[in-house]
Amino acid sequence: MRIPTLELLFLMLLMFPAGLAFAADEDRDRSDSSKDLAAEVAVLKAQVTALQKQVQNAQDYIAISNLQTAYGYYVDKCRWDEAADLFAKDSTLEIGLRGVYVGQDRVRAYLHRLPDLTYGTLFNHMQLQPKIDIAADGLTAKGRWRAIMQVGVLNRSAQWGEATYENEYVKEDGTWKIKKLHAYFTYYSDYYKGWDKGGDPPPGPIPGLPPDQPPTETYKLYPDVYVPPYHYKNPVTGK
Amino acid sequence: MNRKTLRVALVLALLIPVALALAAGNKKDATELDTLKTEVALLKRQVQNSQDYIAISNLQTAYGYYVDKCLWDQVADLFAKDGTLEIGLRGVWVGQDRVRAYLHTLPDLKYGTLFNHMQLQPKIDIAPDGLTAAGRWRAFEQFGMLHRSAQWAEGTYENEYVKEDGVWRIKKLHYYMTFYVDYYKGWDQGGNPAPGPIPNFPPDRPTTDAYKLYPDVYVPPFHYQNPVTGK
Repeated sequence: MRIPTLELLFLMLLMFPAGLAFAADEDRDRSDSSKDLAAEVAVLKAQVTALQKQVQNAQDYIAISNLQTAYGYYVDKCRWDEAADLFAKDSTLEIGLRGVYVGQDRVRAYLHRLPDLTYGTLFNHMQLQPKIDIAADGLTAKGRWRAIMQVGVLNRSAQWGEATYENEYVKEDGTWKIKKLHAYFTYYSDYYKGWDKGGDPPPGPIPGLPPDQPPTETYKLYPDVYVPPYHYKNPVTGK
Repeated sequence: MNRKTLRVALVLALLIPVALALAAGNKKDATELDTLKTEVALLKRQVQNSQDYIAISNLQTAYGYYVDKCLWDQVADLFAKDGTLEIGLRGVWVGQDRVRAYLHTLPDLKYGTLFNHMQLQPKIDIAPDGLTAAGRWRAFEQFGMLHRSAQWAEGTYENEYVKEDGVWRIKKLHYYMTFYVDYYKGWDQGGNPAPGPIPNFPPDRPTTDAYKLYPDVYVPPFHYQNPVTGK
């Protein structure tokens, strides 16, 4: 038995390099046939990466649009804590010519100075016409919107208002939040007078709650005219 | 050692390195393919979610453009067979046929009629399975009859949608009116009452929530949690 075993081992040692050589050959064949597969996998990977960015952009647009419309529905019904919760910790709020409130706590304090939803109160703020642009890194965004406002107190006043928002958004821990809310009033007018008699003055300073910063820009409402700065270039010419 | 044993030993000596080389290469490809498959599966869900958002938004805006022009059969066709409709305080009509019958009791588009229902401010949320969705919208309305009446109205929709055979349909349309006022009186004099019951055409179910229009105040329930806090 000894001799045949030795013979076998010897033969295996002889054959091993032949096997290695064959394997190398086989590998070359395989890599010929699978070079295509590897190339296809690389192409697919690149396509998936591009798709991920595009899909995320679409999902971000939807999330930001839902964020701003949710804001409007809370404001309509004077749900001030719900509205404040939509802001980032280091966010700002500036409405009309009342100056800038800095930080979520101050935004919350400001909002709580607005009306409560009591019998006879109408405080509609329709959020319309989004123009939303998301930064290339997908972490910040800007949106131009407008509000048509229907504001009333029973037996006392009825007013139309209209304003342009230039807002900023930030994505924190995967959730979009309002980083900056800036509403520029276009007009504010008595329901019975319409918008051809000069309009009402904008809402004045809030007693006992001065802003943290003065208004960013000084402008006047209708009958004056003013163009709130655009966050975007012309979407066709890029200028 | 017999010839057979020798042959087996030779084949084994040949095959072991081959098998090792093949296994290493396949393992790498298989891992990459698994990763790609997982990523593509997630992308499909996200793309479908975006497409569903667009389709539902287009469905609701199309509804508004048909209502403006009193195209009642076109409107009814947007509803699922078991769809429901509840507008203001008129009660609930159940099933597409009853929705159609209700809609045909509304005005026809003829000289002197204004029936604008602007569909605004969508907040749309699609269920994880992609088969149902809910949307909060608002309508801003301008009604008029030549030499007879001019009115403004505004209200909130809390609607539900269902995807059947790949097509989104209205499963529930529920419109809560906020105010309904005479054009010449504005919204500080109390407003008009909500449109009343339709003579000889009772609803299938009574009103879901009893509420009053302006000057009363009412918050239609939200279908969603706060989008930032999740509460």
